[in-house]
Amino acid sequence: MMQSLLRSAVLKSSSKQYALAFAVLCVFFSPLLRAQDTFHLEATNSTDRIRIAVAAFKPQSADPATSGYKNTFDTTLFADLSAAGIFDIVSKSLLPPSAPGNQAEMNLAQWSAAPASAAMVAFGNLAVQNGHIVVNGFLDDAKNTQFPQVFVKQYSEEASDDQARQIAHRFADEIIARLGGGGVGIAETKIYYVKQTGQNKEIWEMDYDGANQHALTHLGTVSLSPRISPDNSRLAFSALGREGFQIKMFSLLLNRMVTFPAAGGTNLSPAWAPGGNQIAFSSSRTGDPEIWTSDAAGNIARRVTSFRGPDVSPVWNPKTGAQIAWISGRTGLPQLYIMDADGSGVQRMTDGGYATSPSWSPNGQFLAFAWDRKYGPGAPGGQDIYVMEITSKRWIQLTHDIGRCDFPSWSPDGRHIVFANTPDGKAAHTRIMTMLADGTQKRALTGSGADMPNWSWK
Amino acid sequence: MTLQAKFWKGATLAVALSLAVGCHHSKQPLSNTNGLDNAPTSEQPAPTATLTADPLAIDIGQSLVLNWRTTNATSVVIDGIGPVPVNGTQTVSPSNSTTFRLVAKGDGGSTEASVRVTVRVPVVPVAGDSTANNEAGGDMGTDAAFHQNVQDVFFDYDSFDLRPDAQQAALNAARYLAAHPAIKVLIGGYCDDRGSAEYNITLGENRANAARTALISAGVPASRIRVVSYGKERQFCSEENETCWQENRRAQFNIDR
Amino acid sequence: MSSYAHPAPLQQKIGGGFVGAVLLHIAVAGILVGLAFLHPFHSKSWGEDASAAGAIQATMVNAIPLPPKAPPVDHAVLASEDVTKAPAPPVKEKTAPPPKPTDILIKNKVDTKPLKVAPKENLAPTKHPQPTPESPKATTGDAATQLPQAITQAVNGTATVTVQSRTFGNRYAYYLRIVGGMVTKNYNEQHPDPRTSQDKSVTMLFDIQRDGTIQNLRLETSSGSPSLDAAAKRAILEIDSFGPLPEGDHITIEYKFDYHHP
Repeated sequence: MMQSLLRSAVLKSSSKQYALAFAVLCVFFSPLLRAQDTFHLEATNSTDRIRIAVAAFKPQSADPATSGYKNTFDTTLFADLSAAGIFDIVSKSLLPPSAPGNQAEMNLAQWSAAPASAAMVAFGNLAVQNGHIVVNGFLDDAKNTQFPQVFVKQYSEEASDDQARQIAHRFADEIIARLGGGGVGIAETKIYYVKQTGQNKEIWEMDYDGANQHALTHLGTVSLSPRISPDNSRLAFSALGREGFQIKMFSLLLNRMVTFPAAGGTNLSPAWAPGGNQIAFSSSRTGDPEIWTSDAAGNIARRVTSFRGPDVSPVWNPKTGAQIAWISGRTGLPQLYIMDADGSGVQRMTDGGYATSPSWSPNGQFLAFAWDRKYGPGAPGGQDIYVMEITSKRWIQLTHDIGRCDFPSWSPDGRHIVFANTPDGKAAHTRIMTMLADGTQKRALTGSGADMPNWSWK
Repeated sequence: MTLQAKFWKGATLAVALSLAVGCHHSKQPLSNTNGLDNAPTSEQPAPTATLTADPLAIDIGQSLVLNWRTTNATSVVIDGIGPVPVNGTQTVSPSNSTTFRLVAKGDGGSTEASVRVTVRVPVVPVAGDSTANNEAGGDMGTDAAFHQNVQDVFFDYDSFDLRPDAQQAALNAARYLAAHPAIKVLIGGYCDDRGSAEYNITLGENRANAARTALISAGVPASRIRVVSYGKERQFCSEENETCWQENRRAQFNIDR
Repeated sequence: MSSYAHPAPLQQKIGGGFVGAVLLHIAVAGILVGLAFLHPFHSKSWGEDASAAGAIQATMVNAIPLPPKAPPVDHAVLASEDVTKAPAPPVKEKTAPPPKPTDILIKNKVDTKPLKVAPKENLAPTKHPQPTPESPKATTGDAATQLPQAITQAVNGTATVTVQSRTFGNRYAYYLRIVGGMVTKNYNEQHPDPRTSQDKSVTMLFDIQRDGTIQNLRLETSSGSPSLDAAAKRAILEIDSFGPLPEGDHITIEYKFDYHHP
């Protein structure tokens, strides 16, 4: 009797083992499956997108200056509308061979018919008058023969290549505002970043598409972690001085540094609240690096965390301004946490590995961060950009096998992420790349020596 | 009667069990990330090893002799040299300060020994200071003399705990500072170039603070010590290998002028 | 006095019993009502069974000819008959000679069919060359009996968005297309229970404010399937904004969804 009992027990345990193994496998694989499940990151399928044809604008004169500006304008407009991620752009080879300059010259039937089959058409004319570029831009609904015009706008700026680009950015943003279902256009947004200049690092600025790269600070030291204010007026960052790293403030309106009180210890990684009247940062003035908040002038500093272990890289919830996500080494390797802005409700988001550099999406639902899930001494695993849904803690890996990635930053339309990447792991070869928020359409915006990008709020 | 007895038996059993379980829940000590020491198996005697260098500090271009002795070891390897006989000597000429680490493996387990060798190079990368040349500064003495006698403290990967050799270096520094009461020291915290820039600044800070705590425990007044973290923003070397990475994971002592 | 005394206890007895009976009835009714409250329709478990319902990928396609929508064309034909009377007779003569005398004799309806076909052909050239029976949109000014609509195909049915303002719908047809596209895209990610929703339609009504946000969402016609109603409602509620209105203070949108699971 004991033997049969034993046997049945053994059988039960072995089948239990199989069941357990099966269950473990299911549990192991299901996060992967669920991570790829409907995880609506706002990237639309090509079938959801509005099919728009971008006509070559008609030059009002034949001189080379006009055609030069026109080419810049056409290229920039096409790139902006492609980058928006909400349009299905008619490829240039399918366009009808006409360049209508105004509504009278527009023959909608040509554009709505195959092969273009456009739903909307952007077109217009460009002229150079009295040292000014004057552009008339039209947007037509190709399927509405009775009332085709959606809007027409005129732009006039001083004649220069840079202004030709800026006009194209503004026209593209206007199109996106009308057709984007409440989404904002990013064509006029900027990216602030760290540029290696010999031994030092300075803060630079460029357009969202990588154009117009230029220096902002000339401090002659190491400056890190640039963060632009929500109203685009001030840039907070940390710079290395005699007393270590301190938080500094640069005014874009005055084009010079403005005062920000220094404090003891190491003060770094500033972050703006969406209202623009509070800053969070990491400070070790009490000995251990903790998260502090203060007003925008650096006064009335208040400590928010009080746990032993380094706390750094805070970022506010841009939708509510009531929560802060940050990196804490309180359990050993740095992990991602969120809490309410007063320090309560601490929640751990990552379960292991080495997590760093969080960025909160504009709609408040996602956190993008850099994560090395196979961290270890010797030759650690790769560090990639991940996006995690805050309510469910499910995540998606956006970069694979392109080298070390770090410092992701969301665009204000929530559809793009800019990040730093070094393909061979060497810090000197770091460059800034951009991609759609689902990981597609990756491309480099800068050459080597650029790091820690921060996308403006508007 | 039996029921009551059973009840008390069960109760005492439960209490005993919970006590036992409670004991098991007591906190375990933090494990050191430097986990090369294995617990030896009970049958064989564990290997032992000693490693010394003569002299401990040289000028660049000079050479020194490593001398090691091991017992109960079947294979001995020294980082940067390779497999070596169980006992022996080796003349080396390192180009910058290194820690020579020896690993001895035997049937009874494995053990390691290390020695820190300082190489004086003409230009010391003193970060944050605009003046690179260090003249004889009155009371505080020369930088060269300082660095000859005070060695830096080195750390393991992602750690700010003081290893035995680091504790020794800190003690030596404290002794020197006690002997020269005019010197004020600036401790710089550094990291290797892996890891994220912002988090590494806090790690560097923790390393510098660990060294500072060791100095204070050895009797150096806190008013003579200042701490600055550089994270990974100042590197002592740039190769992508463990030797260089170890070189960068340090708390550096400098005269605070 | 004594006459009162006798009935009194009787009355009391009867009263007592009567009250007891009433109380018992109330108690039983109360239990029934309570049960109804405690065990209502478990509607929330409907539609949540993801395995049965439609695909996760949304393959929504705009502007596809819709055979099921052929009936509405009848209205357009009635309206346009006024306009296209003139060309009709010559076409009629064309169809008379075809060698099918038996057909013409037998079915009078065959005569009327060419009538219907011809005006449609005439309508086509005035529109753009695309063969779009989705003409009940604002593109044809003749479709005066119908309010401007945008029709989109969803993964498991058809969505029709109608705006309750003729001028707005005609002038800003593109905005309707945006509204239809956004709601249907969200709708495709819902999972109404196919068993109860098959061939049902639900109509929701909502206002769009000047800044594009949704107000006053209400159910106009229920489909009879709670999961389909809930799916349509959720699809609309998930939208923050459609983008600012090109004109006006607000518009009212009617969103009708026909469920056809293939």
